[in-house]
Formats: sequence, structure tokens, C-alpha cells
Amino acid sequence: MAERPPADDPAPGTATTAWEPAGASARLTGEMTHPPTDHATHDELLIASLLDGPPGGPDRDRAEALVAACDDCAGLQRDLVALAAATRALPTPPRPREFTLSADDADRLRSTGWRRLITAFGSSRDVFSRPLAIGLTTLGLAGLLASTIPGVLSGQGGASVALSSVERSDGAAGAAPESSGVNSQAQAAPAAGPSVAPAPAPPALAPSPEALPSEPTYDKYGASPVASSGAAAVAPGSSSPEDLAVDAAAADAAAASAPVELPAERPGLIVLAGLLLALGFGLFALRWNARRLGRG
Amino acid sequence: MLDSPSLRIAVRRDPPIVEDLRSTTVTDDPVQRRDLILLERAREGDLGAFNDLVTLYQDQLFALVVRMVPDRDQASDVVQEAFFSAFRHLDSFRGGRVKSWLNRICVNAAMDTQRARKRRPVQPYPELDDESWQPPAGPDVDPERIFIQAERTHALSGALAAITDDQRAAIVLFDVEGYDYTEIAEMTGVSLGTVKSRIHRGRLALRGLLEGRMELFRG
Repeated sequence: MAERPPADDPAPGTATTAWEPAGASARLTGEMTHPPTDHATHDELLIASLLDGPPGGPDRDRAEALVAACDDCAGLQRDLVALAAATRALPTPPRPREFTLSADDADRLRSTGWRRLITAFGSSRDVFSRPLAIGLTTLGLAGLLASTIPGVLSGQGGASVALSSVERSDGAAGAAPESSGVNSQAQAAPAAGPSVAPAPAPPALAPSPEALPSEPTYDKYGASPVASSGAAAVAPGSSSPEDLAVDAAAADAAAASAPVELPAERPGLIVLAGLLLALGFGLFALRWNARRLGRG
Repeated sequence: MLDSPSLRIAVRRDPPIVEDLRSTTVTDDPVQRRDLILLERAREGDLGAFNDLVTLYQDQLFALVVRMVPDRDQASDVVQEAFFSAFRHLDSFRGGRVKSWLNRICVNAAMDTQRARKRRPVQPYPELDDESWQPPAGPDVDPERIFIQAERTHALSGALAAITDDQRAAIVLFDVEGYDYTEIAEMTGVSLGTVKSRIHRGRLALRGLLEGRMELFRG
């Protein structure tokens, strides 16, 4: 701990009253007589707001305390005042030309008839056309998607489509109801939607040629045992394993060669969606043209 | 209950009279009265009346824009475009001061131009290298003073061009044009706090850019 020199023997060239311990650790308190003057920690925005802030208030008091205590803050404030004054006194270059309007300019700028109607679409007061255009375009796109992607409207989505293709490539018994017997129709019908391409019933996923025939079930009409392997067309008389394998292969080939059916039974929806899409794009184009006209 | 006298009084009370501060009929200021007359005549199709307004305000508007758009030619185009826009939208004037209305159009046009220039930069601030124009000096001004003034103008113009467009616009509108925070907020479409922040940060940025040359501005 530094020792204060005796009052009657000050260091040469120094006043006793100006003496202060050198290190912070030697001080009795953190501040002793002066507040900390670490300028880097001071809020310069506070000093900047001192120039034109409202009189009074806690921020102003804090800023004034900083300026009073910190030389750097005081210098910063003086600099900002000087810069504001210099900005105010900045000379203005002379105006290069007259900005008055000629009669031709006025004729060009006056909007009349259809021009006035069109420019109303792009004006700042037009709060209607943009959301309308966005809505129409969105509806049109959604309608087109719904009408062209199979299975969307029936709630089965693309998963059923994927399932049907997996099933076909697996060589499972064909899921097409038209090639199935009465039993397989009865199984497939609940799973398929009313208007989309036939979707397979869950049992159709598992089977492989080795699994044919599986456990016999009884149809509810004739109570005769038939193979329950999906849509394998099983004629009542051909119940031997060889026949079943041949039938399954034939059904597989027929299913593989059949084209995937796209829903063509919704032309109305497609037309409507296309119309909405065209209207939306048209409105966007109208706004774009109107804004160009407004600027021109 | 619907027939109660108190309710009848409440319903029949006249609507409160609210003073319309933006009314075009309040014209205590002779300048404002003159501007409104010219504007009304321009609305009726009198091109001369509109050109009178242009003549009255073109210097002031050019002085405003040339500080926001550092290129003098671009500033000139901005002012012309602003007058075109004002003529085209004469009907959109909803009262208030004509000067403020024209200023707002000019500020918006200047900010649009700066945004467009950011998207398609052509040549960054060629005006700063052009020292051909200097403010006219009086007969009793010594050359050293002229030199210092020119240096100060050059340094400050360069620093103003280097800060952000928003900060520059706020500083010009506040320090040069003398608008208050609320008017600037309304003119530029931002909040009051944003305006204050832009002004204060802009000043600090100017000081940072000019740190080595602050002697030009002191004293």
C-alpha cells in the first residue's frame, strides 16, 4: 500500500492537494474523489441526444453528468455541435435548370379517360387490387393442383399413388377392380375413392408369388373358399396352385402394362382454376402497367 | 328504457366540434393562403398557377434534394420528377402546408432514387470529385479562410455521402430544413424513435468519419 508522503515534505514539483494514490488497489474506495473516466464504457448515443433532446428527464441528466465528468464526452459533444452547425451552413449548389412544366408536360401528365381508370389501380390509395390478385392467383394454383394431382381431393394424397405403383412393381395380384373377381371387388371397393384411380387394399401390399394361395376365406354369397390374395382373378374352378400362379402372372402383366390413369373427370375444376389464375395474373399485370403509367 | 329522457338527450346531442387542423380553410399564414390559392387554381387546370408554385419552391426543394442525393444531375432529375408527381396528384392534397406536401414528395422521390441506385450502382458519388463549384466569396474574405471553408465543405460533403441514406435524410431534414422529429417521422414513414436514432447515430457516424479532420470544424 502506497504511503502518503508527509504533508510537510511534498514531492518536488507536485502540490500536496493534487496528490492521489497511483493504483486503484491503493484507494480506499473505488472512486475516491473522481468518477470513473473510462470513456469506452460511456454511452455516446446519450451524448448525441443531448444536442436536441427535450429539457429535463433522466437521460438528459445522465448525459449531462457524463459530459461534466468525462473530458472525452465533453469533447464529443463539442464536436457534434460543431458538425451540426457546419451541416446547417453547408452551401447549396446553384439550381441547374428551371423545373417549370411546359404545356406538353401538362398534357402528358394529365390523366384522362381510360388512363385515369388504369392509374387508379396502381395508386397508393388502391388497397384492394393487390390482395385480390394474390387471392385469385393462390386459388387458381390451388385449384390446378387439386384437380391435376390424383388422390388429393379424396384425401388419400400421393401416398396411395405411391402404394399402387409399389404394388404393381412387386408383382402382387392386380388391384384393378375391373380385373378382379367378386370377392376382390368387395375387398378393394371400400378402400378406393369414388373417382380416383383404384387404390389397393392393404392386403395387396404383402403378397409375393410364393405366398399364393394364402389362407382360404369364404365369400359371403356362396360360402365357397377362395384365395384372398388381393385382386387375383380366381375362377371357381381353377384352384390349383399352378393355375393360381399363372393367373397371378397374367394379372401382374396386365397391371404393369395398363397406363396410370389421371383424373380426367374434372374439366370444370381445371377450367375454373385456370380462369382464376389468369384473372390473378391479369390483375398483377394491370397493376404493373398502371404504376408505369403513373410514373410516366 | 329507450324512451327515457336521459337517453333521448344523449342521442339528440349535437356531435362534438373537432377542429380540423389540416383544413385548407385555416389560413392565418399569408404564405400558406397564397399557396392554397395557387394550388386550387392549379387543380382547376391553370398550369400557370402550378408553375408559380414551382418557381416559389424549386430553389428550396433543390437545396433539400441535393444534400440527400449527392449527384447534382440526379438531384435535378429527382426534383423535376417530384414536380411531375405533384402535378399528377394534385387531387391527393388533403390539406396542411403546401410546402410540407411538396417536401414530402421530394423526400420520397429522393429515397426512391437512392434505393434504385443501390440496386443498379452506376458510379459512386462522382459529384464529390467535382470541385468546380464553390460558394461565392465576398470581397473582404481572405484566401486562407476561403480555403478552409472549401476544405470543410468538401470533407463534410464526403462524410455525408458516406453515411447511410436514411441517416443522411434524417440529418438533412432535422439540421438543415429545421423539421422536428414528428414531422420527419410523418414524412419518411417511420416511427419517432427511429427518426431520433437515425439522427443521433448519423451524427456519431459523421464524427467518426471526420475524426482526423475535426480541427476544420472546431473554433
